[in-house]
Amino acid sequence: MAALTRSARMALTSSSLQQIRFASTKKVATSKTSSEDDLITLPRYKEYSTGVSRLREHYRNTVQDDLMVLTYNHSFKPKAKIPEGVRIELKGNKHIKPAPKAPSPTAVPELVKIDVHCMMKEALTSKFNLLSGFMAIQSITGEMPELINSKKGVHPWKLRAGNPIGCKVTLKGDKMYQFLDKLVEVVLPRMKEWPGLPESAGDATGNIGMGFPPSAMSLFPEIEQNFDMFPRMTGFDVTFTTTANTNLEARLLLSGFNMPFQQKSRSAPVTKAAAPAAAPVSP
Amino acid sequence: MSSIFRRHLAKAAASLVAPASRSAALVQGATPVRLAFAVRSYSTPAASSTPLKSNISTSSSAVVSSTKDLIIQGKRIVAGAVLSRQPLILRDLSPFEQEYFTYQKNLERDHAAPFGSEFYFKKGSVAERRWKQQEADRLAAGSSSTSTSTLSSSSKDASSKATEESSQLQDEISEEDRVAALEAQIQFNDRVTEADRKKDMRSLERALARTLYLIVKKPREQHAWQFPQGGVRLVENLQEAAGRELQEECGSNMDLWFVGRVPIGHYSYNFPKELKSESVKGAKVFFMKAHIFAGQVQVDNKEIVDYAWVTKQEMKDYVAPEYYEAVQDMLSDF
Repeated sequence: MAALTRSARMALTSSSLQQIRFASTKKVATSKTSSEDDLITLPRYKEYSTGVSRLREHYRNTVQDDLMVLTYNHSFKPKAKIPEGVRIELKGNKHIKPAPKAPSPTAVPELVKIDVHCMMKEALTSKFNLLSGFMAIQSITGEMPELINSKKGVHPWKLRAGNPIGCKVTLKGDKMYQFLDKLVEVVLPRMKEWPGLPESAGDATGNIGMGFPPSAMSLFPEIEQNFDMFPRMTGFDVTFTTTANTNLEARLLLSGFNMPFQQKSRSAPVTKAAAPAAAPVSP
Repeated sequence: MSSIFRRHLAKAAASLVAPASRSAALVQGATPVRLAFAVRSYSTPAASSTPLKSNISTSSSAVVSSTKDLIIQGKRIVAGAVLSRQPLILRDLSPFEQEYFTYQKNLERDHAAPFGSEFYFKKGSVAERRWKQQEADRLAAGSSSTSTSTLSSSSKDASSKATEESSQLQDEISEEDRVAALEAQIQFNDRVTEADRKKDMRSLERALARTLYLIVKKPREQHAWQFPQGGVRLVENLQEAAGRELQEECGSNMDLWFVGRVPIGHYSYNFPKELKSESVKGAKVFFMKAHIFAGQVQVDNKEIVDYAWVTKQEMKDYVAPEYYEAVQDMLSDF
């Protein structure tokens, strides 16, 4: 674990993440006792598209066209613009929702990014406890996580402002689709007794978030292979950011990628209707 | 947006899952043999006398059976079904794209964070040996194209070292490992199927990388090839009418999913003089989109005599020019 997590350790100890220095492949392979002077600095991670993304092609061929048909607003009336300087009174604490966009082929909902985030309470006692979660997130996403330091101190939890408390990866492009593919095809089907995302999923502006228990981490093939190497498993959150405007559009988009959603049982109204029919008829 | 449509969308949200599961078999290069995803394949027949499997929700008004045609402003209203089979494998890459992706792959490998094999593989395990062998083979083949000067020198050293290492490794790898490695290898199916070679236009297993559309042939001279379509009755909606027509013309041996209850296009035309009557001068066809997941068309030789699964470009050779002109914008180029 030492060689691989060295860069992660450095991330914990270095003041700025932009200045992380990577060890070259050769150095790691040959000598473990290389001093810091021998390290070379590589350019910051750039995204490479190394092939046709399966889910992106599926989106372009099927989901995009179907979403266009399903979400097209045939009776769209643009809202009157609020003149400048006019103040709007909010009802309660609710956010102002963005005005619905005019339907167009360019405004079909699309997945923008996926955030994978974890927070570890164990990091309160020692920041090096975070390494396990750091490595796990790096393994499942294939990208170096970003450290998250607490913004505020919370005295009852013994949390001080500025302490590392979690890590986060933002996935875009091919890597995003790869992660979604893995999640939907491998991990979610193996989560026993998980009924699927609720019908009310979504934050009303087109983003959907979901949380995973620590047990779900071990279902990823990358973790499953060497589960013993991770001292502690951590739960994590996944947030899907889309260009959809409503919950409904976002759910349609994700279900197009095979994300399971809870469905109200359709048999319920049938049995209700059948019950009086089966009962003896009285005049 | 009407509330009815909104409610329908909520239902459709759940059922959209189905198309994805079918095309989940898209794989770059070819279809792996082991992937088993659909309960029914395209060729399996359904039990006879079963209704068409689809997501059509029958409205209460349609229970009243009426065979009266719906005529609005002297035009008969007709519902057509644009039934498509989505691509099953990824598209073919152009030579330029292939080159580009290979180059990017090498760049990514060179710029990747160092891989800690001791973390992922237990020392002395079969997996570790196999990985070392693969890595040595890769380096010996010199597949690593490098972008930065510092890296290129280091990788040259590595490749020369790799050949030495690989010869050592050869001795270590036992026969058992070799068998395991062979078993682990994925065998790919051909991208060109038997139906492609035979030019069997009726097969759903042809042109795997393309979207196919169903067209049917009616027993007449002109406008013989069309999408399956038929008149809307007085009490049914467009989706119900399209589903009913599909079942009447193509049989019930198909698992379908209608994409919404809103038409994706329309085609208006006037009847020839001999067919024109006082009240009906022409017809207006509304096309409903649907996907097929399993099953196949059954020809009854009454309403239709032949059928074909064609791409957009192939459709041009079958249908009348004015018909193609009207429907081409609804269809996918890929």
